[in-house]
Amino acid sequence: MLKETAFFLLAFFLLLPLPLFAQLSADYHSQFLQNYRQYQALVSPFQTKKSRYLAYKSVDTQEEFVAAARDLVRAEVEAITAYTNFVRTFLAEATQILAYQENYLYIKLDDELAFLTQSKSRANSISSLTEAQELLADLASHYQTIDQMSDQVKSIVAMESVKKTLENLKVGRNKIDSYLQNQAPSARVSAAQEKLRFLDVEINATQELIGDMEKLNEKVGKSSSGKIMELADESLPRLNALQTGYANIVFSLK
Amino acid sequence: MVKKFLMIMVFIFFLLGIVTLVLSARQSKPVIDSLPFSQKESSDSPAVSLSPTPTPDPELSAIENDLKLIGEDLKKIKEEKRLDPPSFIFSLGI
Repeated sequence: MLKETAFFLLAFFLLLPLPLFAQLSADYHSQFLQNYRQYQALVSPFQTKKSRYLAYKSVDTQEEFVAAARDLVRAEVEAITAYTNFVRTFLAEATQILAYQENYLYIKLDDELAFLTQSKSRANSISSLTEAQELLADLASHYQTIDQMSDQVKSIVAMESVKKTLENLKVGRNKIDSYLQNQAPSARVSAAQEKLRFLDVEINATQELIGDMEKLNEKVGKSSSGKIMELADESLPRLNALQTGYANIVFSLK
Repeated sequence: MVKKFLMIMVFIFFLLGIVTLVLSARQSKPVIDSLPFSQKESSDSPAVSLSPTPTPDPELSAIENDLKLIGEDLKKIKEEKRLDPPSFIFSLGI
């Protein structure tokens, strides 16, 4: 009896995070902003203590510098952790809404979060400049990886958002077309139909850009992410033209 | 008998809890066609019409609303900067 109750309670608490999913990325972003401000507030005291240590090289100034370095590194680890959590939950939300799978990125981000958890205890126990420097070097290497993954997330979400927006625009286009086909022939209806066909050029051009983005997405790397973002940026004016064009057609039919 | 009754009650509460979680997830889930970026509150307030206007075609109104949402999505794509990586110090500089 106790075992069954314990099982159901455990299953309940394991499933508890599910409804919080949709709000977590905004929460993590707020937390990141807060942590980053705390980190930034520690930069100036760190620089001051460093200047004093470099000027006097005494035991006291070294001790103060180590303490300032420890505080800074601790705050840095917290800020990077919050940023990584934000990237991870942003990816999770985007996956849920835009319906695609990126398990590779989840796993890599989870690995980085595991490293950052270990780094917290290393940061707390910094007692020398050497330890501080070693941890900062490790953080630099891992942050480079996190930066790359964040670029990938950004480019994937941009690409999928362009795809989704184009699909939504095509639905709008088809609805306008169906509406026009049910109207009595008139000059206004003919002009609207002609305008619809004219705008199809933008749909085809955007479709080509999406194809190029998808090919680039198969390659992993910072340069691919950058190029995908460029193509996504190139798609936006075309999507805008379609949205404005269709809105104008609808306005003219009212 | 009492044990069986208690087990059934625990199971029922467990199922009710899962249903509550799923329902609250659905309520907080964003609109499916909307993009995963932060929403900005619209500062535009609807104009109050003082003169009688013709009844709008509901089909055209629906298409117009869809296009308006798409326009907002496009704005979100352009304005999303939260993923831009922040800068940190990675050296003591000594």
